[in-house]
Amino acid sequence: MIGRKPPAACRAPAATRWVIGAAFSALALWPVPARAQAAPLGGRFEVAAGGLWVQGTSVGGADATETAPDGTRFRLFASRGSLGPAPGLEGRFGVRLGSVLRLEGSGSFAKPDLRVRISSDVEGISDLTLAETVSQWTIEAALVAYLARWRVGPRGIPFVSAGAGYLRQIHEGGTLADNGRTYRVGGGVDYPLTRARSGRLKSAGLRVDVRAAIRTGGARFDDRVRVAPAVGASLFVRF
Amino acid sequence: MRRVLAVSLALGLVAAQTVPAHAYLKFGVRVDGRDVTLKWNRSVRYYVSDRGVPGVDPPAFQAALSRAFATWEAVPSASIAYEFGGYTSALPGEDDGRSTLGFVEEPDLDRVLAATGFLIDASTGELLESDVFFNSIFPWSAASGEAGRFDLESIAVHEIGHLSGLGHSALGETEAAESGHRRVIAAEAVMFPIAFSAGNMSGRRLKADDIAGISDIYPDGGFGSETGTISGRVTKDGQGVFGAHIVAFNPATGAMIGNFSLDARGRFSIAGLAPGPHVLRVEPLDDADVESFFDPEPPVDIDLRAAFFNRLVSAPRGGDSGAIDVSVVGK
Repeated sequence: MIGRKPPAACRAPAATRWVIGAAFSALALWPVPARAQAAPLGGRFEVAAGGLWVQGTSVGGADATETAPDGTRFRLFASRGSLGPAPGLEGRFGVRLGSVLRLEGSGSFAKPDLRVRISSDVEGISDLTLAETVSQWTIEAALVAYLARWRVGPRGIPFVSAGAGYLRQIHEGGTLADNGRTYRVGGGVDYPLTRARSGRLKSAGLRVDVRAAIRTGGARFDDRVRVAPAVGASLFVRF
Repeated sequence: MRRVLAVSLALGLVAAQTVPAHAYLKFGVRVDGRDVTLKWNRSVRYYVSDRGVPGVDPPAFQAALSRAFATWEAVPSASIAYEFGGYTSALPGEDDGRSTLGFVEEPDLDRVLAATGFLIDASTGELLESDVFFNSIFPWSAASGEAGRFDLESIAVHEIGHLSGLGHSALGETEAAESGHRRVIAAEAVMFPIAFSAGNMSGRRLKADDIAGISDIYPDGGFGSETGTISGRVTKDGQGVFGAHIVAFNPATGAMIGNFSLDARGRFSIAGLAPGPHVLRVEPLDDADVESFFDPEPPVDIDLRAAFFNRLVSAPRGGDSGAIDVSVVGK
């Protein structure tokens, strides 16, 4: 495949334009039309490992109140919850589907803090933040579409992705788990560092991506859908 | 041999006292060196006095009581059941083996709206008889929210909580009134010992603390498997604190359920919590109303500052949090 003009790069523009419209901020990295039309995906299978940073998000909360004689609520103290930002580890396995698509399965682990900010206590206790550490696991499947006509720099290949998965958060002490669903949309750049013309290993490289991590369920104090930005960086090998 | 013990407790619902605190409380007795919860081991058959008061005739009285009993009976996570046995000419307080509810004129108890007394088997903790009197010196109403009259159903819900084995909850706030008494600012348990003013009907509805309390005594409907418990100790200077109030607040639901540290080691246990993270808040039971919650001995330690436990604590579904050590400091 090396050096051949990928047919899909010519056949794909309609679909490609569509995903460009949904692409995330990684696409703002000055994509330029490809000059050398090298095969963007190199290898059928991909294995990757890397790090992930998920920004914190509110998880709701309620005031501690009692019933006043007139039926209104009398506040004892206020509480507001959040899930703190946290680094994590991510592993990924991918299978190429044609020349511009890749189906990926991934798993991640992080240990964010679940926090509750207490304020306005009726007896004057100083404002404070309580927390517990949550062990957070995700398993996701995503479809990645490579924007084969574009390059970021000499070798970077931009992509957009969308996926969904399962979220499990185990509270401190290991006695309670909350489950939920995850959805993600985003994009990034695959940057091949090496290419092999023979042997099982086809290429190795670096991926950087940003995504909107959308969550329902899990550890939270209301039923709202939460969206948190996330950044990932990983090393991949393809064979 | 069964030892029968008549218990005259200050379990009246009073019109004005104080206690900014939180918690449900079960009654208990010591049997062979261990604490046993007072409870009924059978369906509770009750009788209603055939004496009415102005504005409330016996049928209206019985109807209000029936609604109040139904309120407790409807708790899905508790198994207690009540049965109306009929009208009686007997008065509450007679040790006749019948649980009787009725009006009695008690002018000396000019701040007590109603009170509950028990006959118990002191060898097992079984409740044998429980009588409730409503003080007829007060104006009563069996209708909805009559101004100037105390809502019979609301007060009955409170007393039936006692009749069933619940003590007072301290989940309420009060302030000093011009009369020198205390006025309730807010409450979040029908088992709070001080009633709202005449005409108020908010005591007709059970709160999370009441539901947890009755379910803890008569668990049913998955109470043990679907809810969680947080337990631990309250200590000050390394020593256990007796009588501290510990409240578990659920930020997801806003529900508050509490209990007290109930022994010299400061141990507490709060059951009936929805699974999930909770905020724990500890405060003293810090004025003259201590006796409406506890016997004089051992003395309740009220020399402690209100404080939050410094971590969130998860109540596991069907399990216990494990020992939480809440350290407090003196005032």
